[in-house]
Amino acid sequence: MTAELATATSSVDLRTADRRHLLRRAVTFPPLMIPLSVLLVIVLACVLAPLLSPYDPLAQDLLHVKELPSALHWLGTDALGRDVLSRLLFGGQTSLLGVVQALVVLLVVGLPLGLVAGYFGGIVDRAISVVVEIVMAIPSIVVIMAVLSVVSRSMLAAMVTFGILGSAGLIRIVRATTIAVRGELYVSAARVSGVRQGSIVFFHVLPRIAGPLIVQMSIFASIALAVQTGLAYLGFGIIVPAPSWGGSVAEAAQLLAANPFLLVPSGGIIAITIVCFAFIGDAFRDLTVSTWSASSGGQPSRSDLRRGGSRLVAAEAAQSGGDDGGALLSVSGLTIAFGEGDRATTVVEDVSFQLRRGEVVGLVGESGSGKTVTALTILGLLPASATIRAGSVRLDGVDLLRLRERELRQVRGSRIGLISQEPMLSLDPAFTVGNQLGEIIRRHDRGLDRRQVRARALELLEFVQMRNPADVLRRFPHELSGGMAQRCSIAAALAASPDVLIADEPTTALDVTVQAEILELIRSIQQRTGMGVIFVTHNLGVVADLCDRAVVMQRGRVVEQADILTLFAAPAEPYTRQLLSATPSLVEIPERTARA
Amino acid sequence: MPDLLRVEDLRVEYRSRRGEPFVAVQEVGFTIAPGETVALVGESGSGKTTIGKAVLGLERPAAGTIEVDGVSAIGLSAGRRRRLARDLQVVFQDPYSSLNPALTIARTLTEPLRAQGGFSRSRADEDVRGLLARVGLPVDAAERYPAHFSGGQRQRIAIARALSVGPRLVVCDEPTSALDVSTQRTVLDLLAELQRERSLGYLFITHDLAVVREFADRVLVLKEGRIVESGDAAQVCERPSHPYTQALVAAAPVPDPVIQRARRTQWLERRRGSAQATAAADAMDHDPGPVTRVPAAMREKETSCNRNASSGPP
Amino acid sequence: MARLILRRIAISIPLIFVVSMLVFALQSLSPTDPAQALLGTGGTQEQLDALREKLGLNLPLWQQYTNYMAHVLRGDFMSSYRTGIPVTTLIADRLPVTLALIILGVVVGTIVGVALGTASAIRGGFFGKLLDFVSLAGLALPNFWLGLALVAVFAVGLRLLPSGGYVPFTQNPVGWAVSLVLPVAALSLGGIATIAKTTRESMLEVMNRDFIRTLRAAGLGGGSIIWKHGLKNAAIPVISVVNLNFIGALTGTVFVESVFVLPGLGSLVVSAVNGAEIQVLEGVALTFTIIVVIVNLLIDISYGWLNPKVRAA
Repeated sequence: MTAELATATSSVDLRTADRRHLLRRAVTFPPLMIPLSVLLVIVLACVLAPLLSPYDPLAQDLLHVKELPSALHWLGTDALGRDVLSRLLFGGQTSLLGVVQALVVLLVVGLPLGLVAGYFGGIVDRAISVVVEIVMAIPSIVVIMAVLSVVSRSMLAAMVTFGILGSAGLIRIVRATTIAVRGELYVSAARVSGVRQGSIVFFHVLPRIAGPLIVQMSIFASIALAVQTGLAYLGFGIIVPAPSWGGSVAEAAQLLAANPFLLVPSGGIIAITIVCFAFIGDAFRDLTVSTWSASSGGQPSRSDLRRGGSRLVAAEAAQSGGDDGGALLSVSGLTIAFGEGDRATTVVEDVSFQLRRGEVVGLVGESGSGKTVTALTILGLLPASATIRAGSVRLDGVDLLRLRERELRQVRGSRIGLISQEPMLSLDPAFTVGNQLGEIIRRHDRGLDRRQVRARALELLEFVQMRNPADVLRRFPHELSGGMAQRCSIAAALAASPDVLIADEPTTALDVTVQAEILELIRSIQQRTGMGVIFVTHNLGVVADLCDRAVVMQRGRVVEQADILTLFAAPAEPYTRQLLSATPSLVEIPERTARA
Repeated sequence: MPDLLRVEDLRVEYRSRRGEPFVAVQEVGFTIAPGETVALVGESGSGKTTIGKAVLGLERPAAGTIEVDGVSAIGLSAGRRRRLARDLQVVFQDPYSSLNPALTIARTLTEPLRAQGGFSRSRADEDVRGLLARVGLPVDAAERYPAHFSGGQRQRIAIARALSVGPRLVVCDEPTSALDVSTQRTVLDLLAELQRERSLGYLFITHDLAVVREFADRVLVLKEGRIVESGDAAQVCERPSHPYTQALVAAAPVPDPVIQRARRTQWLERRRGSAQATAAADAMDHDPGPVTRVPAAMREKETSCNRNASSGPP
Repeated sequence: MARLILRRIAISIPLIFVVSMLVFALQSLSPTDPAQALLGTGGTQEQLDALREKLGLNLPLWQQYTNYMAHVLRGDFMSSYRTGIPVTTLIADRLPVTLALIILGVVVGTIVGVALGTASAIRGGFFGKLLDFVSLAGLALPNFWLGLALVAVFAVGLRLLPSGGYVPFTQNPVGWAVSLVLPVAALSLGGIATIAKTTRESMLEVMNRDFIRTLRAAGLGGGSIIWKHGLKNAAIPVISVVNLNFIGALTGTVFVESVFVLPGLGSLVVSAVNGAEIQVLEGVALTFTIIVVIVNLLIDISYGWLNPKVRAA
């Protein structure tokens, strides 16, 4: 997603970015507090089992065996008449203790080693990484079993082993996060200021690690509990008849034919505990993300390819705008909002402009101006969270906003083409240039055979002045330079000879000399084919170089539009004047100095 | 009086997995006087960021001298690095990555002071308020997190942090490249004011020649790790002597259609002119071939410098 | 790519030695004396000493280990001290069962997981909720308990499927499949959960990338975009999860084979521990490790195919 789109979707959340301290926030965060409280209840209940338990867990009552829950026995009794609830309460002590043991070992081994490997790098890092790789491949169950064959009663030994073997995974994650933080500019700034290594680790690295660390620990706790109860189920690590959660499941197994109910409480308590672990981990992750970054925890919940931007909210079909005046493309009264309900923000408001054949129109603005959103709306490529509130986009009289996805697909590529800002990211990294070009070519002309497709692809690359086109077809995108990648993108956009080209900041990520080449390429293509071009940019120099007319946008509205000479020589609006005077120039511009 | 910064015969290499180390910077030398702005200009892979990092002590040079106020700045012990930090600070390009999102603004602003030791809480509050006011931010910003602020505001916070210890030389590594043009103007104006007030020296790293012309006193043009031209900023921009500089100047668009039209014609002529031009175009395109020779570490450091205004919230 | 494979093999050799050494070293801590165990209660002291000499138990530990590994490299995993059965026989008999279980478990987990994750990423709504539910269930319900619950419902309750036991494929293919339905279900739920979750996250991330928009803008249809471009890129993190799943499935077989009384390597491990049969345990450890090595290698190769940047390395 380009930055501007990300801006639009996240601007909704910038308002709610919280300033309260993380811990204070945590305490009032229900998704964290609820599972935490439940877990605390379970832990306390098990710790206080001697006080809370209604019966002695070992006390057998042969008169009341295999009973379902009743007033006397809230969770029923097992094959020997022992009270299930009491056994679960006492059993929890060993199970939860086992989890704690494994977690402590995990943390004590994994955290320091991961930090050291990530922060200091070099030989230490490589040594630790090799060891981690080996340990991660060890089938841990056999080692745990081997340990148990030596000390079959000791759950502690098994859990410690499990913790050590599991720490390899934690080391990997801590190391990766540490390396990421170490590369951040704020760490560089700290180093420049001479901040001590220890302080850097403590204040910069650890807080960033806390999130992934807690998530990882919660996952590990879940697995540890499953393994611990599994071992107890198999009869390891416990001394029968001592109660344990796994043992209760084993007892339930024996009664399966007669009274399968026992499965429910024994499995239930394990499941509830694990669910608490999982929710705590998730909640902590969400908490750190929302406190420390502008976005609301990133991803949209789905990526709807059906139609970007929901259909017009109001049926404004009657609004057939004025006479298009022979325009190729006519945008009229476009209003777009992001977000839901009362959190919705309008990012484009009442935008209108036209594109004539053979013309280059610049959409000019700074970040947040809505220029990219406007451009993408033409092709119906907005994310699912966008709503088109009003307006029309007419291509040769047909309103594109009212087309269904299938019909719109006929327009894309063949009537309107798109090139984007980051050339290296605009091509699929998993396929060669030839493969992608070929697919696009075939999409628009199904009758071609392989040789014809390849010939057309070569033709296209030559058209965009690519040196050595045959070689480029074989390459993957990461094997191209920025300029070459952009030429490939342009070739892809032109594959079906569209009438309109939308260029969304195509040179912003390129060096200035490469930029000049690409601008010249676009100009020459435009002159040769007579295409209309909508050129989105923030760079007024580029506008002066390439465009015939320009539409200046600010905060979603059109501030001014005029032909290029008028716009620069005699801008009508203060914002336009402000933009012009703020833009630095390599050459003294006489009128401007006079005006300023 | 010694130069504020003196760099001589600087050479920085990056280890690559096989064979020869990659030479990022070689034979680079220049000086900066107090109150002067010297710009390092170049495209990606020119080595300009690497020079900045070497001066700041973030990269260790293979050879050469770097002296701040006559004292060497290479291979310093932790204590000496701290002492140097009183005179030498930095403002980075990316306002989103230069402030720790987990720390409040107050905590971030006071970090350089804390590192110096002798830190008192009461003085700190005063300092923070003063700094925020100086860069034009409201006082209540101190208790907020970076997520709350726009790119331009964050950059001003970064400047405030750099100022907190009263440095004499500030390395500005593309400080406005990620900002909108209006915000860029504000930040540049702020930097200029501060320079006048405190006689600050700036090592100003950028890819944008237009900014160089308006902001810098002297400029060094870098290509693939070497200086190809240096001199007075206005002169170099208006009458470049080296072909590479001429190509850079010719390629940069000017925000005026009439002037730009004429320049474009000249640029086309240059280009069409000779076989040399196609070769130059080849080189400009930085075609790496099937396997790039630039080691990954280097590529990261020289991030494409044209990442610009559209990369941030308003 | 060749470099990648060589590296994987280079790591695998120390791996095998580390595992075998670990298990061997643990044996030395065992309180049971193997000679005593073999001889039973009725042996004299001379017989005991002679047996110890014969078994090489008086040699220093490292020598015992090198002797053992020498045997292993010749394909001889020794015999169980207690039963006298050659370990290779035991393993050969039981390997097909465990392999069937693991392979089916991971295949089912991957197919269902990827389908669910993709559906949830593209359509959301019902599929999203289903995924959330499944991933929670897969995490929260341990596989041994799940197996028992499935037996309670389908075997005891509905009498649709057997509650345990294994039918060899050669004997009765249909019976073989039927006997594996519940065990595979119990083993694969955890995998479905993690793979579905990872697939969804990865697909959402990939679908948001610029190149997807470029391809849509060029007129390509939803099908090709999702299944060809989206999935191939999204598969990269999913493959690592599949790898972890395989390794997790090995652990799972120990529990699941017990629940369903399947004569595989997992239940062999349990009986070996109970009978203090260290040779058997050592043999199974080596077998598991070799399985892990082969799986890791296959995963590395597919990773190279999916991610061209890796191929050049």
